Amino acid sequence: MIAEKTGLSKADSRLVMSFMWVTFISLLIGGLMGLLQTLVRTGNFNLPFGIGYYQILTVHGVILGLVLTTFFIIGFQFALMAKTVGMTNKQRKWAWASFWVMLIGTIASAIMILLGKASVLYTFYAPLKAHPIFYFGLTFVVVGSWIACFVNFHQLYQWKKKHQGEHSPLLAFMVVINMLMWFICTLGVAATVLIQFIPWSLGLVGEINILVSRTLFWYFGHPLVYFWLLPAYMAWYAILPKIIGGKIFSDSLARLAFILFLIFSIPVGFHHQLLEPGIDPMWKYIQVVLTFAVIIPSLLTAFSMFATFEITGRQKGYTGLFGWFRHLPWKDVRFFAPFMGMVAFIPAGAGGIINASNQMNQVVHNTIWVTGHFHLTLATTVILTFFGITYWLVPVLTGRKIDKKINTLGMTQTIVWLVGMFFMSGSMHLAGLLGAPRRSAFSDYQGSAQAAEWIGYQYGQAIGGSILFIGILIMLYNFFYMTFKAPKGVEEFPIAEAPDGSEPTPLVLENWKLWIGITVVLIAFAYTIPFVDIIQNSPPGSPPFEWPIGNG
Amino acid sequence: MPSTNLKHQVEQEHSSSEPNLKGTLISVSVVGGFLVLSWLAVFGLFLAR
Repeated sequence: MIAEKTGLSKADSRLVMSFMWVTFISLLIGGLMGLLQTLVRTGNFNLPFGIGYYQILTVHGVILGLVLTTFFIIGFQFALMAKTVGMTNKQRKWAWASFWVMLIGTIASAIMILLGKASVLYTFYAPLKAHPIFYFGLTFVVVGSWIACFVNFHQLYQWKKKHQGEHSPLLAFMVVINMLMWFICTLGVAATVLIQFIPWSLGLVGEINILVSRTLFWYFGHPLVYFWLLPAYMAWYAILPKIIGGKIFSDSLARLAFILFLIFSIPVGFHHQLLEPGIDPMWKYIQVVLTFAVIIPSLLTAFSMFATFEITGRQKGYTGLFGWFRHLPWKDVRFFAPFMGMVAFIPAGAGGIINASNQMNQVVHNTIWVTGHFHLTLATTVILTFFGITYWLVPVLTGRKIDKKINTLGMTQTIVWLVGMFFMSGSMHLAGLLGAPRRSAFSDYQGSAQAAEWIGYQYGQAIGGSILFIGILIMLYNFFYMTFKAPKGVEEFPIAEAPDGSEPTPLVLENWKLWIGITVVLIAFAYTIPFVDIIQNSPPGSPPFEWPIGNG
Repeated sequence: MPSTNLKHQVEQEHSSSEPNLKGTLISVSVVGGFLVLSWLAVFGLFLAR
C-alpha cells in the first residue's frame, strides 16, 4: 500500500536508503575533520596522535566534496527516476552494482588517506604523490557513478519507447541532463588518473606533465560544481512548488535552463587556472566569457523561483507588491531549508562571478576567500537543499511520517547551520580579502604583520565551525529519528505539475542529439587548440613529491 | 474594422491571462543589483591595490 502511494517499491527504497546511509556517515566523518581544521587554525590546538593537518584536510575535502555529494545525488536521482519513469529489476541490480563499486572505491581511498598515505587534498594536484591505491579508489568511485549514469539513461530510454511522442517527465529529463554532464566531464578526470597519475604513482614513468593534469582536472572540476547544484535545482524547480501548494512556473523554461547548464558548464575550466602560466591568455579569455554564459541559466532559475512564489501567493489571495511573500510555508522545514539555500546562493553567485573575473581573481586567488565561497555554494546552498529533501525523502523511504518534533528540529538545524556558516564563511571571505591563504595549516609566518591581521578571523572560523558541527549532530539525530523512530505512515513524494493551460513544451528541447552535439562542439572549440599548445610547449615533467605531505 | 475588434479581443484575453509578476521583477532586479555592486566593490579593491 505504501508503495502504491509513494510510487517506490520496498526494493527501490532499500537501494536509495543505502546511498543515504553513506551520505550521513560521510557527513559525520567529514564534518568532524572540518571542525578540527578550524581549531588548528586558531594556533591554540594541536592534533593528537601525530595526525597531520593535511591528512584531515584531505579527509574533509574527499569525504564531503566527493563522497557525500556523489552518494546523495545518485541515491536521490535513483529515487526520482524510480518514481517518474520506473525501475526494472535488472536496472536495480545494476544500480546496486554502482553502489558497491563506488563504496569499495571510497573505502580504499579513505584507508589510504587515514593511513597518511594520500595527504594530497581533494584536488590531488601533482606533483604531490599519493599511494597508488588512492587513485585506484577514486577510479572505482567514478566507474561506479558511470554505471549509475547508464542505468538512468536506460530508464528514460525504456520509458520513451513505451510513451512515443510524449515528453519525458521533467525530473527524469533533469536527471539525465545531470548524468550526461557528469559522464562527459568525468572523462577528463578519468584520463588524467588512468594515463598520468596511476602509471606515475606506480613508478612506471618518472615524470608527470603538471599543466596537462591540472587542465584535465579542471575540465572536470567546474562541471563537478554543477553536478552538485543541479539536483538542488531539480528540487527548486519541480518539488518546492508542490510543497508551497503551487505549480511549476514553466516546464519549458526549466528544461531550457538545464540544457544551458549542460552546454556551458564544461568548456569553462580555465577560470580555475587564470593565474597558471603556460595557457594562452586568449583561451583563458574565451573560457571566462563562456563562464559568464553559465550565469544565464542561474538567473533564469532565480526568476522562475520568484515567479512561482508570487503566482502561488496571488492565487491564494495575497495582494500587494510583496504580499505573496507571506503565504510561503515558513514553518515547514521541507520549504525553509531549501529556501535559505536559495538565499545563500545570492552572495555565493556574486562571489563566483568575482572569482571568474580575470582581474578580481588576482585579488582572491588561492586565498581563503575561495574556501568561503565554496562553503556558501556547496556547504550552504546545496547542502541545505539536500537536507530539505532529506526531510521528506527519508520518511518516504522508511514508511514513516515527518512529525512536529522532526519539523521543529529541522527548523532549528537550519538556523544553527546558517548562523555557523555566517561566522565561518564570512570570516573566510574577509580574511581572504586580507590575503590569508587557503589550503594551509596555522602559521604566524615568522611574526609577519599581515598574518597578524588574520588571527581574529581564524577564531571566527573556529566559532562558526563549532556551531556547524552542532548542526551536523542535530542533522544526524534527525536522520536516525526519521529512519527508526518517526511515526509510521505514508509521507508524500512531492512532485509539482505544470500549470493548467500552459503552452506545450517545444519538442526541440528533447532533441538529445542536438544538445549533446552542441556541447561536444563547444568543448572541442574551447579546449583543442590550447590543449595541443600545452602538450607541445610544456616544460619537462615533474618527478613525484611524497614529502612533506603527499605520502609521508 | 472586424480585424481591429479581433485584435482588441486577443489583447484583452492576453492581458487577462498574464500573471501579475511585479514583485518578481523587483526581486530579480535587487538580485541583479547586488551582483553588480559586489563585483564593482572587489574591482575597486583590485584597482586600489
